[in-house]
Amino acid sequence: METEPAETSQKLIKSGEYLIVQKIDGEQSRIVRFTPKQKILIEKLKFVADSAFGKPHGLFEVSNNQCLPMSVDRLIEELQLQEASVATSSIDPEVTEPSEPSLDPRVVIAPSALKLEPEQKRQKLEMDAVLEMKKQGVSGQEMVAKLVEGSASFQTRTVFSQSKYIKRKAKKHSDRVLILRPTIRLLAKAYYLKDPDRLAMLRADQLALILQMAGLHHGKNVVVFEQTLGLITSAVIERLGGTGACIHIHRGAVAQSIPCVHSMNYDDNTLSTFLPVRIKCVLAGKHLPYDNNRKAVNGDDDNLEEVNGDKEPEKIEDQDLEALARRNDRLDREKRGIDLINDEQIHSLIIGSRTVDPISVLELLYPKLAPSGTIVIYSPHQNILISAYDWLSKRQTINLVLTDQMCRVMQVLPDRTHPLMAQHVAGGHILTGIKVIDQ
Amino acid sequence: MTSSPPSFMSYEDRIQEGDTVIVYVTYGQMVPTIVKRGQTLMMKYGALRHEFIIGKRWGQRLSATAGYVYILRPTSDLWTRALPRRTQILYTADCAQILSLLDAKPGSVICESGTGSGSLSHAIALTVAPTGHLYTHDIDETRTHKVLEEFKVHGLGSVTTAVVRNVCTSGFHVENAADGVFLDVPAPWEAIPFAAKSIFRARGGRLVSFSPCLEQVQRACLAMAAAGFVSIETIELVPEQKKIVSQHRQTLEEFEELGDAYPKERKRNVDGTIVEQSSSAIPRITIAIVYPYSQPTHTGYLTHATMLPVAE
Repeated sequence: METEPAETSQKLIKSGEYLIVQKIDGEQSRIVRFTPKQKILIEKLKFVADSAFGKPHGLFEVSNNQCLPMSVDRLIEELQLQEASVATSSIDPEVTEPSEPSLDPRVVIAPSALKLEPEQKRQKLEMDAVLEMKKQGVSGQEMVAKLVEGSASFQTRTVFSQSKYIKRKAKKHSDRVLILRPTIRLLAKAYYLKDPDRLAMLRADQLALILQMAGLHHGKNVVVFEQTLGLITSAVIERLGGTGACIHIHRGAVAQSIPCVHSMNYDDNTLSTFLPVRIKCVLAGKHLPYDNNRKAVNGDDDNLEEVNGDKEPEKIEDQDLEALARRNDRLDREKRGIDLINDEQIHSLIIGSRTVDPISVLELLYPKLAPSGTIVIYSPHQNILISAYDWLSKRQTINLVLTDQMCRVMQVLPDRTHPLMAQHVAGGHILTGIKVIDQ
Repeated sequence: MTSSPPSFMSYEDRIQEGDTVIVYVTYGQMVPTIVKRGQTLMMKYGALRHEFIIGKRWGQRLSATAGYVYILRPTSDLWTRALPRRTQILYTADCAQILSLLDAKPGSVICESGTGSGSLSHAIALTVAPTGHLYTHDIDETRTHKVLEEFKVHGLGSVTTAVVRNVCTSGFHVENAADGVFLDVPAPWEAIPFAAKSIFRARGGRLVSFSPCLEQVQRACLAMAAAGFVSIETIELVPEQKKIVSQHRQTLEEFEELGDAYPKERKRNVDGTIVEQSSSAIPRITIAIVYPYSQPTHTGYLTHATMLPVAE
């Protein structure tokens, strides 16, 4: 049996979608909802969202506040040009005519403290001229070419130094961006670099390990308590693919602070497994009605009705119906979640803790975990997991392991391959175990 | 013979005949077995008759003739640790990261080479089921046949296709269909042009290559760039496992009074008899230590890249 791709039609960028915007070779990724007339800003590049609608995801060139699709072939060509001098040197080391690289660049380095005479300047292009070219909309590629041309020391550099110079200028003046469909991998990386504290230092490779140790795949029932911006919940929902349950234990009346769930553009089928359950219901061990006093419930969607009190009666009715439908949907999901917990139908318990003691979560949910179910606890701090280990080892839990993990990024270039000199190293720790029962 | 239930994706409370069970003996020893009436499992703590397993709940502790064991529901992590080895395998940390780098999820179509012992294959198949598919390729016919059998027994037959094929010369089983390609081959640079062809052009896809040596990585990166991949990055994972123990902690006065303390120490008296050190007098704290003392510091480099969608 062969599987054809579910959708043969190409997915194009649509208004209202969340997308990942990333400058080529840039460090920063942004998750942006593309709405009409929205201005998108990424590392000083600006364009309007409308210029991306109807185009395929991928590579774009930014100019005049618009983004235009760009062929990957052109990008590959440019990257190869950056390496051209190195390749020339490697292929034919005896022929030094084309680029005339020197072996030792030290002789051309002038101390910055010295005042330079005009003829000693290393860059003939004036700052004003550079700014003027930018204003005229000269492409990044042309800009780099001009800077190389105007560099007095370029020809005396080694081929590696030349390549590095070009790369640095290309990176700064690049006008190429990637606009991509969000994936858990890209979200994890973007938030980790942007907001690691609120993500509890959860790195992408640790998130991958959590999913694997929890034994997740379609059809599983999983309980998640997390303080990681909804990233763990979102990853679980994706792995379930519309079958099973992801019971998300949350504070307050409505699940909030979960941007990673909203950013994934999940369809209704995939979201059908998302079952938010209030902490107070878990504490009580049963389903509780919502507080009817709307003012007392902070953040409840029903508050919208008060704000619109002076609207037309017809509109008020429509909004009432919508709010009521949302409320009923929420109640229904919560009831399903509570029932699964009380029936001990949970296959996996995942805790992604930042400030909450995992033991207080375990005390409520561990008894509800089915035998042979897995427990995975993540924390940025090891001591917290040691206490949880003690708690679990006093009960019927086996296969208890505490791990952490180092993830290093390598630079891979001909004759210049090494690990990056500095990287984000905080990554947290993971405790895993399996619940068992006696005869 | 009764048809085997899909035990890797079974959600029944109790064990049935034909299920694959992971018998947990000790942390370092797990035995996978297919439950059949009339059979007996021999292991460290004695014998365990299969009739005794059938009908029990998953996760239950069972007595064997010389101790007790636990019967666990299989997961890809437990399978990785328990499976019969036929080649070097990828362990859980790398498997987990590969699934993430491939953006694997239910419905994904993934090509893999080589199959090896099927450790990663199980992880991929479980992740892409029920609507996705794994095409796995290996040059060794015996290995492919064995893994094919295992897929069937584990209920993963409908989402997997195992092929005897050299992807470096003949390419992959499917073209213009895959969402991701994984390579664990000695010469990935030869397979990468074929991987580019396998990826579904209208939607783009992901490529991940696993190589122990940096020279392999260098050649693979050049091949990826030449084939049109972007966002090429190479990473290395080094997991570290720890153990929580009760460790001695002494004040200076306690040290003077009671002497030094070691985890396991015995003193030999003047007359030659062995006296256990009375370490109970020395207080302890709970602490995490690195254990085992020897752990992997290198498995391989993971190089990943993106093929962008091509407009029709």
